[in-house]
Amino acid sequence: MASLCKNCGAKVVFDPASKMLVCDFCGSRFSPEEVEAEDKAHVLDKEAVSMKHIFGSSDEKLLNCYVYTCNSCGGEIIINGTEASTKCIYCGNSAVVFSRISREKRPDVIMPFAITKERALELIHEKLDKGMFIPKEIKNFKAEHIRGIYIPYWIVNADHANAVVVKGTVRNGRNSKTVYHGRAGRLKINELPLDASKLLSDESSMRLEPFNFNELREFDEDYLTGFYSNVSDINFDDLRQVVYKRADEFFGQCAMADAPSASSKEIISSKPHTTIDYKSMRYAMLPAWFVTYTHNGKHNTILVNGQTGKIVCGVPWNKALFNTLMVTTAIATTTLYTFVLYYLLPAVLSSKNSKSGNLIALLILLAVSLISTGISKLKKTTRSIELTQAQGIFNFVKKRQ
Amino acid sequence: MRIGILIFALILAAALGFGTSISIWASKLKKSNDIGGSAGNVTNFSKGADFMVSMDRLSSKEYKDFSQQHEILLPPQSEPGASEPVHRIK
Repeated sequence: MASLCKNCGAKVVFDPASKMLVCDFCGSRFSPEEVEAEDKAHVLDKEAVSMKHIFGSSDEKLLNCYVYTCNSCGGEIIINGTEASTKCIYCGNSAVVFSRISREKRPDVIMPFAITKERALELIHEKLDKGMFIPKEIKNFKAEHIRGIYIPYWIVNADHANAVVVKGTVRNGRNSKTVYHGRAGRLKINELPLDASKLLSDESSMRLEPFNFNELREFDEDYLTGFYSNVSDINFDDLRQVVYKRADEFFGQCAMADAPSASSKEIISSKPHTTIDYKSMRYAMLPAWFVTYTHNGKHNTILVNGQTGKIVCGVPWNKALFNTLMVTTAIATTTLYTFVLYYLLPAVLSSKNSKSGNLIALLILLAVSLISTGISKLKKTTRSIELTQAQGIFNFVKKRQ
Repeated sequence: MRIGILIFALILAAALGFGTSISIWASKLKKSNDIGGSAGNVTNFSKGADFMVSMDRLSSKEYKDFSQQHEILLPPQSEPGASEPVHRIK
């Protein structure tokens, strides 16, 4: 149910640019706290009707869907069971479904959208235009769906203790030596946001970080108007797994940074313990724009942090350009290196000094290192594209009518 | 001998040349096409670790026992059921 304008009774929607509720009809503006939807309390306990009840279906996939009636046109809106707000597919009315935000699941805080849909698209185009390997057709893409979605998050404080051994390599002139450093201590984690929607992968939602939590506001349903949202559907096991994993990573980062001048550092032993402060957890709605487009028959979803405007996506690249540049550079550098080595090697090989062997070993090591660095970066880019093209994230957006 | 050196130089140069090329262009590709690929790091959510034990250049025996010997236990707390939907504990 949408909140109505106090002056003319038409629907009001949240405008990220002014951070106010704006009446489409008379243009009046109100702060969300000002607008009191009289029947909010009444609908809080209203029971949703399941698809099973409507259609007599026993298909488990449909059990979590609910049917609501649009306040404006009377049409039925069928939405996913974990959604809290949606728009009417018939008249476009911003219908906030209060019944899915039960008292138990009502969010504590919300980060209102600060980036408008137009600004989100502008930011995406600005970013894509700078991409050297981004094909022209992607730079000029036409968005199929643009959805402003409030993603449910749990904001968690935790305490992590660990005792780790960092293995590293120390070079002394031509020699290198493996060293081991021990670090044991505690790490306090404050306000770690954890995506509470099973539909969205943690890997994708983590990339939207960081958010500035100073701008969090007390939850008010009116902020949802004009946007979509989901509600938390994870259990404590899901939550703990993510907190433990991230806490362990953070402690590892600190321990490796603290280990004295060594290269190729890695943690080879640890004894982690993490406790979550379950009493201080906050249930928050954080904003993101989901923009989808199709390229070569594949759906791509670009994410935009609705507060900071951070763009998150992996973009398919112009393979012909990349391969041409790769091959040309490889041929040019190989020719250059061949000349240098052809004149350098006889002197190095005829020398009885042990330095000559070391130099060749060093060059082989350098080649291996360069190749593995390149492959690792290619893999990261490919992974990012896979996330952008994942069916799960596309479905997350597509389900909104 | 000269031919041998030329072949060796060519193989080594090819490896170095391919390595240089892939490393340059893969970095450029990542910068161009992997947009916003980073997640928040420790500085976003913590003031850093407070190390109570800090030992450098451990011997082989020391490093094998370090994690066990210096394990830090946190006060036990009651944990909500694993399959229970997440909610704030009152």
